[in-house]
Parts: sequence; C-alpha cells; structure tokens
Amino acid sequence: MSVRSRETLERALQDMGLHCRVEAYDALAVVVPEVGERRLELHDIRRRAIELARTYGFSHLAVELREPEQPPDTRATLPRG
Amino acid sequence: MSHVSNGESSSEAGDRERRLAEWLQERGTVLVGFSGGVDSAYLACVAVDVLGAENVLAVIGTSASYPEAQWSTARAVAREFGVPVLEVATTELSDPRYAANPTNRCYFCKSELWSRLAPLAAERGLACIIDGTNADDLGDYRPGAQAAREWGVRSPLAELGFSKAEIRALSRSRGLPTWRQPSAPCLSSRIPYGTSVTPERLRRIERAEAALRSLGIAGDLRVRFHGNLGRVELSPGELSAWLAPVAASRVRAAVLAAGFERVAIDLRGFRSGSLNVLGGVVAEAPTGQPNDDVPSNHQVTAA
Repeated sequence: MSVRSRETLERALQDMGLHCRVEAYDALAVVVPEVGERRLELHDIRRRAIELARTYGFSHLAVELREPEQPPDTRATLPRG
Repeated sequence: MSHVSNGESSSEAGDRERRLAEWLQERGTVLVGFSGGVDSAYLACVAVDVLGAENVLAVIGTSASYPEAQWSTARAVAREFGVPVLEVATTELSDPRYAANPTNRCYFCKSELWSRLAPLAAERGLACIIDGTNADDLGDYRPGAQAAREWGVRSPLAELGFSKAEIRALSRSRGLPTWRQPSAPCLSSRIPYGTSVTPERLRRIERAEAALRSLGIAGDLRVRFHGNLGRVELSPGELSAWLAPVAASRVRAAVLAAGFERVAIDLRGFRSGSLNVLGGVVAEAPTGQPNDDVPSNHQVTAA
C-alpha cells in the first residue's frame, strides 16, 4: 500500500469514467457519486475501484447512497412583493 | 455456513464434546458468562446437560453496549433449554477509560463484567467461572482476554480447541437455535478507536441495524459509525442486491431515520474486525477483491 492520497484516488476513479468525488476519513475513502452515476453497482467496476483504493493507501472504500434524482422543479417562481 | 461436514470431522467434534464434558465434570459447578451468542449458549447448554441445572448459573451482564435483541435471545435460549440465568447490570460506559474508546477498550468492559461475576460465583459456591471464547478467537486481537486471565476465568472451548464451525455444528445437532446466528459483538465495536462511545451513539447504531434487519437483510451486518456518516457493511453475498437503486434507497432511508445524516455502503462488504484494520491495530489481509463471489454463509467469524 502506497502513500495515502485522496486526490490521486479521486483522479484515478474519474479516469475510469466514474463521475464522482472522494472524501477521506483516515484509511476510509468514501466515493460520492454524481446523481445518476450507477457504475459501482457492477462487480468489475467495484473490484477495480477497490484495487485503486488500496494502491492509493485506503484499506476501506465505501460509496455514499445519494438522494434519488428529483425531477426539475418547473413551477414558475412567485414574484417577490 | 461452514460446519463440520464429513464423518471424520464430525467424529472429531464429538470427541471434543466428550472432552468438554470431562472438563466440566472436573470442575463440578460453574458460572457461565452468558451472552446468548453461539458460543456461550452452546457452552451453557452442555454444562446443564453434564452437571445438572442446580450446578450451573448463566449470568447475563446486561450492558448498554449490546442491543436489546441480544438479551431477548439470551433469555429465550435459557428458558427453552432449562439454563438457570441471572442478569447483572454492568456500567462500563460510565468508566471514562472505556468511553474514550482506546484500542484496549474491551479490557475495561471485561474487567467490569468479571469484577461483578467473580464475587457472585464465590457467594454461590460455584467453583469456576467460564466463558465462550473459542479456539478461532485466539488469533484475533482481543484485549478482553487479559481481563479474563486476571479474574481467573477459564475458556474451555478455546482450551479444548473448538473452532467456531464445530460449535455451530454441535449446536445444530443439539437443536440450539443459535447455531446459525451471526456473530454479534458489542455495538461499541462499530465506533472507530479514539472516537468516544456514548449511549446516544450506541442507540443510533442499534436503531440503524434493527431498521436494516427489518428490510430483510440477512447474514452479517454492521453499521459503522463515522460521525454523521453511517457506513453499512453487509455480507458479501448481499452486496450487489442492496446496491441496486430501489434497494439502496431503502437502505438509505432506514439509516437516516436512525439518526445518521449520510449513508454509505462499504464496497468490500462485511469484514470481521474491520475497524481494527481501519485503526491500524491489525494489518489488512492480502486481498483487495470485492467479496460478491463468496456465499454470505461462509462468513461466520467473530467480532
């Protein structure tokens, strides 16, 4: 396991095509996917992500469960007084 | 479930149980530290069989660091199998050395437990205090074992070489409902070392795990505490199913309702002693693979 680097892990995951950012809590890296990013549901993608996390110094890798995408609010805004 | 599956292994387990009976007979009377878990339930039931209920007392040290469901199981097993049981409240949470959550936290918890049980054994004239530590446990980082030694507590399952798998198999053959019960270490084990253990945090973890169980999550399950983030570890075989959008949304809602503000699922799934690795107490096993290919019932490890 090499020197821990959140930034490098984040870049490596983005290079894999994952739309996400990474937060670090000691040796835990939390992937915060952009809304709609679902590729970590795939076994092979998870395996590669875990390998990268280990490479960049993280013993643990988790994915944050985001609030489901909401449809855009198309209601007209009320003019202010 | 990895349990004794062939004739030779089954015979070995049977021999071991006979040696356990002899070991208990040599003591004559015992006080069993009883949590209702796989190991102590098996040990208490064998002790009652061998020594008779009048020579056995199983004591539950009720602590805020265990979920209420654990005590319900312990009481139910004791009732069903005729194990005399007594409940004693322990107060390790009010010990600042415990609440500070150092890497040897378990030492302070077990010291509190055995310091209450030892006088009880003496008062009742029970010759020996025993616990359900098994041979597999000896390889783990377990500072609580030092407290057991200091109080003269014996661990016959470990001393006689019982593996967890053997205990599960022998429990099954006795009809004990605990034979396939997942390991259930205390809730404090969900909080990283150095992060203080408080009743509110323990209850939050308890609520989150209970809510996830109510969704139908089977096998090993932990909600690890990282401040406002709850990190869910599931049995590897369950991981793919619960990452799918609808299921993940239910997981998220359950953990948020318990009081966390953010929810994450660990991509490697449940790992025994996960926070020992995270805290740098033990080295990580040399694998980086997600565990989806491993059936969840192979995960029968403690802690």
